[in-house]
Amino acid sequence: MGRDKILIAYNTDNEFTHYDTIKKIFGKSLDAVEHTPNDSIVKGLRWRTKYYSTDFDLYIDQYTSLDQWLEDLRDPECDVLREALAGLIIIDDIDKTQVSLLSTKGSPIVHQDSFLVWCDTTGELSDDETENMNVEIAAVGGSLEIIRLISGEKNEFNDTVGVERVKEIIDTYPWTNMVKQLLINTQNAPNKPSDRDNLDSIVQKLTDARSHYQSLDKDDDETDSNSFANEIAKEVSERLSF
Amino acid sequence: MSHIKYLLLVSRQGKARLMQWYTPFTPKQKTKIINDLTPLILARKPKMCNILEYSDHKVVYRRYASLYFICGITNDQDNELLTLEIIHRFVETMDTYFGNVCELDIIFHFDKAYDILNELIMCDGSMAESSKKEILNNVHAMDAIVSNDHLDRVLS
Repeated sequence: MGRDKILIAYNTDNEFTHYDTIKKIFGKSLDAVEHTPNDSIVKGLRWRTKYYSTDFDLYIDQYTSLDQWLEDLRDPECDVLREALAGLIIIDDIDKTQVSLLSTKGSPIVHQDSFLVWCDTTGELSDDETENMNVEIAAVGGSLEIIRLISGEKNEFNDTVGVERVKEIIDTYPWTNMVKQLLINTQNAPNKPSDRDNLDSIVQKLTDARSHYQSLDKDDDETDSNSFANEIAKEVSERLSF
Repeated sequence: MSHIKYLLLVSRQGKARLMQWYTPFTPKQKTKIINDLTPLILARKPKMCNILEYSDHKVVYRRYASLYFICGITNDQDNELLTLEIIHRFVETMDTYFGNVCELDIIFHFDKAYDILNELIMCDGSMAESSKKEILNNVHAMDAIVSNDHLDRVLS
């Protein structure tokens, strides 16, 4: 079963506007589908990176007591839901007791391959304190990551923080239904041989292709020669686009 | 002279993205090293020392954004600071090749990351080439050959 759903849970008592955060994370994906801020399920979203795109659904739930909500999620009735989750994002003030429960190794809240993120809405913890908490979680082998929402894009170590870090986690999730993008521009393509070499090589190939095409033409095999010409045109256009 | 035992690339979430072994280890030993070192290094605070002792050797690591570059080195033969420089050179070269390299580049072009690493460090763990320009020339030459092969396949 493919894990292609992201569950977002937020505290209704929190003054933080959950939809703003969701919009910051999934902005472009959400803009492409019809929805309202009160929707609890948004289907058919598309996550795009420079390497792939993938379809996913967003499930949005609210709670007044995180304890109770997590208890419900652990219930065997929610096994199917938990198995379908690519990740769980909690938007709330940081609660150290809950954090220690969630960060326990082998916590059955989400599948071991899925991501588990706590977006801290308070401005009380500094970047350093958040980092220290993440280090403590890593020390016990937990998969939870605490992300301070009130942060810039990078910290003093040039690490991605805040909403950008949430996006990075979603980017690197191994989506089973991802569709790889064709690299069509120089920014995306890592291969940058010199233009001169590239052009020389293409000219040489075109000369060879012309001779080959003429030999095909002589045999009056029009379908083959046309198909060959099309393949060459496609290949050359791809080469020139790098 | 540097004789690195292994180089591991681990994400902040504890996922191994690259691993290169320069000393013979059994699969069981490799698993143990990865399982031991990953939580050990992820649990270290940013301002802690980048060199630690593990088993019978030393481990040098350096964090770049969400990735930890971890090197096992021989106690008597290797210089810890030189190893840090090698890691930095590897990152710099990838950065130039990919253009501001990120974890996603390494996931989707792990073959290129290995190519760069193989140009930089020989199979015995010693440094093969220190020039970033030379490494990039070689990797680009490999890319050109692959690209030409593809066109040749169409032509044939």
